Amino acid sequence: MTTTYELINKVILTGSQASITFNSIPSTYTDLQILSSGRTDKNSTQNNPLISFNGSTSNFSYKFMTGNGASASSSSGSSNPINDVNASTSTTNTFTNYQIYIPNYTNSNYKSFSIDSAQERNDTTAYLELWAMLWSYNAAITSITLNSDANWVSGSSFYLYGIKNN
Amino acid sequence: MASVTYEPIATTTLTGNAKNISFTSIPSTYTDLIIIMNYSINQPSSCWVRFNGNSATNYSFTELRGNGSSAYSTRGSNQTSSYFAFNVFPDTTPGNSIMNILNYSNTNTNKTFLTRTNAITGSYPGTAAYVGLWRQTAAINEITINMDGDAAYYYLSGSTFTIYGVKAS
Repeated sequence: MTTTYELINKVILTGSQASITFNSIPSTYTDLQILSSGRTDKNSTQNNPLISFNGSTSNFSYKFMTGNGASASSSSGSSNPINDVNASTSTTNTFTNYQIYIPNYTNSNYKSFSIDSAQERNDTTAYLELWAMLWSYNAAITSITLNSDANWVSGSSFYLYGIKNN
Repeated sequence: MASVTYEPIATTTLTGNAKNISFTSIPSTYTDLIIIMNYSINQPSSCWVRFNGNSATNYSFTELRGNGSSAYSTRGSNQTSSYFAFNVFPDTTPGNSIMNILNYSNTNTNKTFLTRTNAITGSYPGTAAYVGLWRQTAAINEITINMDGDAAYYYLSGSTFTIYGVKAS
């Protein structure tokens, strides 16, 4: 019987690592979903990891909206950040939870995908974020890299799921 | 054998342009429904959903959106449909909407649903979250996805709409 929602691979760090990559992603699913709980060692309260597809950091654009506990704002750009994650000076033992949903990752259109992120800390400011992302490239996605822009710390986890529509 | 938790019910991939997409005879055996939409449209138009063919003023929605410059919120009540892409929707470059319809077959509650919509290009780009309400306790057995405007407004060939059922037990 076909499994609709299936774990393809997972990475659970037991030490620091600058980036994680899911390689050789099978083309047999319809959509992909990454569920992650991450923290970096960047010397800040938060920083922006970067995403790349098939080894490329080009052809990305975004529009995002954030609420920080005091106000809501929106911004856009032509690069590949994915969200604000807890970094070294944020509340200890606290990781950012986020999900990345990539529909139709194998088709020959540009790839529109979604990121929802919750960065919480015991502070007056934390970030709840919604991201619209676009990879303006026609190739099927065969690998995904999440670059911490510093190091992901031990305990960070990354799960890649495939979803089949038939 | 263990029951299946997450299961595709139906998929529509447009091989031509279409103004509306319908999912009918939705079984009542799941707990929640998820609709994944990866779509493009030919000209600017808000997109909406109806349930069980009900076109009475039983719908409302709240939109929270960011267009890349500012964040806004909008609300509509006593509507004849509920929008899942109101001030944010794609153009000829695909965007996506992910709709979660919770407790869709419960006959004691009105139906609420949550949607995320994303579009980078076009006249109304941005990222948005919607909460929708259908003020009927009937189980949902039919879902129609449509858009504002006449026949000159439509979803483009290649757009995909998949409905999944999720079982809690």
